Amino acid sequence: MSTDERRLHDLFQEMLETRDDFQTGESDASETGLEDMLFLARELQTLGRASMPDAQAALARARERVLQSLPAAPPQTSPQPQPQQRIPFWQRWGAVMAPAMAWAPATLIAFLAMVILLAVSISVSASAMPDSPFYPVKRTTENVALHMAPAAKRAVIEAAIAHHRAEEIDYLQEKGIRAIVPSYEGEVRGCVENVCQIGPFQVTLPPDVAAKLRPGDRVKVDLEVHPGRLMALSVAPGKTPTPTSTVLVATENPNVLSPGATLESRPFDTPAVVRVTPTKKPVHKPTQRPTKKPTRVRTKATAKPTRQKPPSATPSRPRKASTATMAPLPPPQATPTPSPRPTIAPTATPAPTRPPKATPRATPRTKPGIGTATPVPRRSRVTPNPESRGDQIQAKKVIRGRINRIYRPRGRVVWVVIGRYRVYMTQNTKVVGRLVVGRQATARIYQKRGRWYATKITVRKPSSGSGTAPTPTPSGRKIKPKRPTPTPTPRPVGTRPPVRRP
Amino acid sequence: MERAAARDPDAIAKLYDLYAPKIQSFIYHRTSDPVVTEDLTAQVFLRVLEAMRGGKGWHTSFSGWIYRIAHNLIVDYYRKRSQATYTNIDDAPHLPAGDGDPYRATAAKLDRDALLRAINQLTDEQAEVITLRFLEGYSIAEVARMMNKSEGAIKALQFRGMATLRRLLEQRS
Repeated sequence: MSTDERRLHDLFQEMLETRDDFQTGESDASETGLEDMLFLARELQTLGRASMPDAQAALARARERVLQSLPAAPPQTSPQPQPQQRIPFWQRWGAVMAPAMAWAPATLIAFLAMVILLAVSISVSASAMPDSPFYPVKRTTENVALHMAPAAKRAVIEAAIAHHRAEEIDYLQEKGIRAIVPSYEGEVRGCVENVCQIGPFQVTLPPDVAAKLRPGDRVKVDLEVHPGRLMALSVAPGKTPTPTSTVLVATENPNVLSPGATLESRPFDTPAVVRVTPTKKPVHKPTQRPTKKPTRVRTKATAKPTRQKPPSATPSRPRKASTATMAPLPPPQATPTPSPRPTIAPTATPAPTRPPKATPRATPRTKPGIGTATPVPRRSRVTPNPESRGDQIQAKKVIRGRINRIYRPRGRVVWVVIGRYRVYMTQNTKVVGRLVVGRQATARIYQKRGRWYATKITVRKPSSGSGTAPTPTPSGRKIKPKRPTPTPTPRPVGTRPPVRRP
Repeated sequence: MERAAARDPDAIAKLYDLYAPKIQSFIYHRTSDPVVTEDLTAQVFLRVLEAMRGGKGWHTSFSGWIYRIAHNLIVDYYRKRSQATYTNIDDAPHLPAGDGDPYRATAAKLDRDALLRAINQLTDEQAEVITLRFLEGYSIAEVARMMNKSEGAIKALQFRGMATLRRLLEQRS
């Protein structure tokens, strides 16, 4: 609204209030029609003074009509507040919780992130070794599982934890890492001077502590792993193993105990073994089914007669003693397992190109020592030596190539992909150098049941030059890399190019 | 008001006695028909009670709210009347004889009808302001309070309404 309009409105109002004759006498008022409007206002006011005839009677009739329209509900004596719109309780609750709900998405996201992080770290830490940053998570998880477990299952979990410790010690010794493995619990099997056999390990203890230990004692030790030996940092009495009714089943891998088999310990004088007593029938499942049809392999060694070892449950390579004081012991008693049938029937005519190198050893190769401590067969997660199963070697060859992949669950190498070969490691596989993906390696391998096993793997150290090694094909042929085109040497300035003569 | 909302007959009767004469006058000045005025007055209060029962009500001024209901009913009445058919004068009921000169009375009635028709052609707010200001005799401040507007806005509505009325009546003449 402009100022002129406002002034006009005020002027009109002022004239309405002050002038009765509506004759303004002002020229602009007559021009804008104010005089007419004032006259009209007077007419309206006159009209407004007119009253309705018989107004009271009409009001009474209308009143009657209004009151009759009311329902016959009894009048409420007490004054009631004006009815308010009822708010459902969830809306009221929502209004109360509104400030808290404003943070709900952020809180929910943070909570989910924490849960996911926890789950991932727990799953990753399951195979963590002491040099891993997740190792404390693994220990915490184990402790929580041990404390949360019912009494009936506690022994099983304790056995699993002890197994983990043993794996960790194995791993550290293998890697040559010096570290501390706390709270390893095991049974003392015997002591020679200050070296005691605790579980499968020979631990160096302080002489006074070692003198107090008796065979059959359970101790909990904090071990310091040195390359080649184990030192006990502290020794504490361990828990008495709770007898469990769980029956452990013997599986294919003798190193893994699963429900269905019982553990027995022997007195100190007799060789202590972990005997797996099968409850029903010895289950023998070969890791790979024998092929029905013999594979044609170019190697001459295919036709070699089967070298079949006498079946024995003796480990082909017992644990190495850290000290040279252990006496050789009779082979551990075990039920011989039936050897699987050979895959390929031996051919009569072809003669072996090379006589077998060595007869399989029936007795464990241990270092001579003193005392009566028994070396316990070492648990190993490496694929058992297929030679001990009496299978026929289908082929032998030497391959050379790049290490493309290493399958190392729980820190132990199971197989390696060299070139295009997946080569399984056995207990007898000798590895020279460090297995690292990308390095060149030479492997002596043989085939059994369609799998390639390595006898020896030599890993070449990475050279500074970028030489490309020939990649072997599955057939054994080597593909030589293309020779690079020689670059012409720069000609000194001022010399003539050599003249080509026809 | 609270008791009237709770449909207390005494409270409703008091409310009616307080506001009905003003509403009746307002409607009569806009319609000039006693029968229509009686009917619309009753309808205004019935609508008020219905609105109060439904939880709806006035926001600032009860009188402004009730005048707005009356104004809407008048507008509806004129809208229906414009669509209605006219009856023959012979069939119409006889009007009672008034005092004075019948010619002057008829001329005055014609002027009044023309004025009321012109008011009904204004906008709702202008018609309400003109009615309240000149027919009902409320001051600018009272009308502003009833209509929940500023006095300046009422003055503007009043001026524009009067200017429109003048133009409409000039066109008729």
